[in-house]
Formats: sequence, C-alpha cells, structure tokens
Amino acid sequence: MTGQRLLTHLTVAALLAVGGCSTSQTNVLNAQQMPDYDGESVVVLARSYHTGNQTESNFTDCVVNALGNGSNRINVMQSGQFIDAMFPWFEPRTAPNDIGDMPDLLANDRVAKRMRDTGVRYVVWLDGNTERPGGGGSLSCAAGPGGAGCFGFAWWENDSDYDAAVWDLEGQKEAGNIETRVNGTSYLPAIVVPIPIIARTRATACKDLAAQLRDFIGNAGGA
Amino acid sequence: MNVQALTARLLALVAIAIALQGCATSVRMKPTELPDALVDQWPLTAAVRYDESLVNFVYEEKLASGERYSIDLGPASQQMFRAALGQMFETVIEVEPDATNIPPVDLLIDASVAALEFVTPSQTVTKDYAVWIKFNVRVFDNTGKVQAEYPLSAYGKSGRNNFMTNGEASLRQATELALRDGAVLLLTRFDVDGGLRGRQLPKVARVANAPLPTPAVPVATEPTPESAAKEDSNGSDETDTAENYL
Repeated sequence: MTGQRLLTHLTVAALLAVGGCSTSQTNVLNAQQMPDYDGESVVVLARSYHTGNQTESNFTDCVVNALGNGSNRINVMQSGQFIDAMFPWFEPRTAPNDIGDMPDLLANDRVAKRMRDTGVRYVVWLDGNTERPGGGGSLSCAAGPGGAGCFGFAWWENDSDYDAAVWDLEGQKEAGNIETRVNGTSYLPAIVVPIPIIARTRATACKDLAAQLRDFIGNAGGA
Repeated sequence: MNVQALTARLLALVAIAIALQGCATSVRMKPTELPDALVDQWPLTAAVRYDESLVNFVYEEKLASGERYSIDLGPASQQMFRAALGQMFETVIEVEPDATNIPPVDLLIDASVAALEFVTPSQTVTKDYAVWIKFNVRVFDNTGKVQAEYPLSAYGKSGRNNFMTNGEASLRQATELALRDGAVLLLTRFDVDGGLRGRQLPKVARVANAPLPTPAVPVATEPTPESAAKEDSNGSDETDTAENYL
C-alpha cells in the first residue's frame, strides 16, 4: 500500500514537472512605421465565417480585454457596437476582406461620416483558432456503493494559431501583421482522483498577441 | 416496498427524464430590432404581402442520432423583413396575403419562407451550429408584372466556445445571425436581385426638380376594361409613380 502511494506521488510530481508545458512564438510581419498613438480607438473583429473557421468569440473577448486594461491600455471600441454602427457593411457577408476594399466603402459619405463618428482609426482583424491535432491514452471511471474513482492516463495536444492584421483607416493601409503560434500538450493522469495538467495555449496566445498589439499600436505604451 | 427501493426508482425516473430532456433542443425566436442601416432609401412606395410561413414557421427534425430539434421562427422573420424594408423604401404598406384590392404602389413584394436547414456539431465534428433559411421573394412592378423572383438564402453560424455554452443558445444565435443575414441581403442586394439596378431612380429627378423621364417604348397591349378604368382613375398625376422610372 505504501509502495503504491509512493508511486502515485512520484508519478504526479513527475507529470507536474514536465506536463502542461507549451512553446510560443510571436512575430510581427510587414510592419509599417506607426504614428504616435494619440488615444485613437481600435476595434478588434473576427474574420467572417464566410471565409473559413471563425476565431472563437472568447478569444476575441480576451484580446479586447487585454488591450483595454492595464497601465498602457488602448481605447478599444466593442466590436458589436462598431458592427451595429456600420450596419450593414461589417457583417459576415459584407465585411471588407482587404484594405483595398476600404476606399470604395468610404466613398459613401454616410459610411465615411459614421466611421469618423465612431472615432475608430485602427481595425484589428483576428484570424485563426485553436485545434486539437492529436491525443491518446485511456481513462476510465467507476462509481459504486463504496465510492468512486478513476484510473488511467490521457493526453492531448493543442495548437493555437492566430493572426492579427492591423488596418490603419486614416492612412488606408495595412499597418502590419502579427502572428502567434502556441503549441502545448495537456495530461490527465488518474489514480483514483484525476489530476488535470492543462497547457493553456489559447490563453497564452491571447496574452502574447495582445502584448504585441499594444506595443505595435500604442508604441510601447506611448499613450 | 421499502424506502430504499422507492428512492432508487425515483432516482431512475429522474435520470430518464433528464436523459430525454437532453435529447430535445427547442428554440423559439423572438423578434429583434435591426440597427439603422447606412443605405440610401428608395423614394418608392412598396406594398408587402407576408405569407403565412413568415408569421408562423416551425421546423422540426429528428437526427439519425436520435436528437430532436425544433426551431420556431415565430414572427421573427416577418419582423426582419419589416425592419429592412422600412429602411429601404420611403413608404411601406402591408397587405393581407389574400388581398385583391391593393392601393396604388410602385412595387409589390411577396415574401415567404421556403425552407430551413441546420447542422449541429455532432454532424460536422466542429464546435459550430449553422443555420440556413431560404426565403422566396417575388417583386411585381406597378402594372402587376413580375419584375423579379429569387431565393434569398440567409446563413448564420455560431460556435460553442466552452462547456458552459449549451446547444440551445448556440442554435438560437446561429438562427438570429441567419435572420440578420437575410436583412443584410435585402439591404445590400435588392437593387440587383429585385431588378432595380440600372433603373432611373426618381429620387434624382425629385431632388434636382428636373422633368421626369418618360417610359422608353410603351408596350402595345390590348386595353381591358379593368386597365382602362385604372388609367382613368389614376388621371394625369401618374407621372409621380415609379412606372416612369422602373
């Protein structure tokens, strides 16, 4: 019994030491010279589901919250508020795919005026999602009159790949692209009690992407 | 029967009830408002006939997995048309589906729901529910001739982001997005789909106070007693209708 308990403790300790780890990489691509940030508003939008898998709404919310909070925060307009204000031109079916579509859209005086009224200068388009490319193991649980318990071991991988394209509406140009890739493996060992060791790849991607966006748009806290 | 056995049976019944409840997803849509649309309004008077299907459409399906789904659009799709058409035309009047005595208008629009389809995460091995609603739209000009007839295929998709999001909420959101997409299609494509593109808009003439354009080549038709009577009743003020522009 003592040996089994020791084995359990050793296994858990070993898994805690090596499990749940992830690797992260964030790159800024095609970055243009950004003007000094002067409190202009930013709106963060997910790419349309008409063009593929849409970024999870809770990832978008996470980036919005990360940009809008903290000491060097950026003014962020809520995406729903912006989409309603620009209705029906930023809907999944009608949203511009490319910065080259903006001149045509802004040629409409009402659209241009409404855009100015929102105070939004930068549109950040989020693309990508978190996938589970692999996993394995076996875990079973049982319950009876004397109690319940689980036994086994399961693991799975998570890949979080996200891109953020930053459009400068005033300059009518794409100011830059930021891409984040986070890979991680989660483990779930169970000897009576399951012990989840989760690699939070999506949360890490959100944190890294928001930090880069804040540096890029806000000029490293120049607000 | 002892207390233990009774308790066990009660628990079993509760478990069965919960399991059966879990197999059925029912969504009833409520009318929602549209934001103000950044589109130019057509200075036309449109009459709209809403088919019964727009007021009362319920779609039910049992999947191969045994899951049962029910989507009740209720008056939500009619409200969507009302909100969109109200922003598209200067004046919109609603007429009963079986109305025969329609007041003079520039356009008559018939709208109905033809079909609804959906897919669930279990069918697509994704986290998403997707809903398609196919509306039928027919547009008549002010002579009663069919000007356009087309299917308006609206689409909405919504994902389950976490374990706390239940299927009903995601399916409801996908249906809401499909209804909103229907409004977007009306607002942004009616000029093409409804056969208005390339026609002279009366707004231009009215704003510029310029002489109104006249029809190109009148189509020679045999006058009927009804058409003759209609022309008489319209009088010379007919130039103010869309017939001269459309």
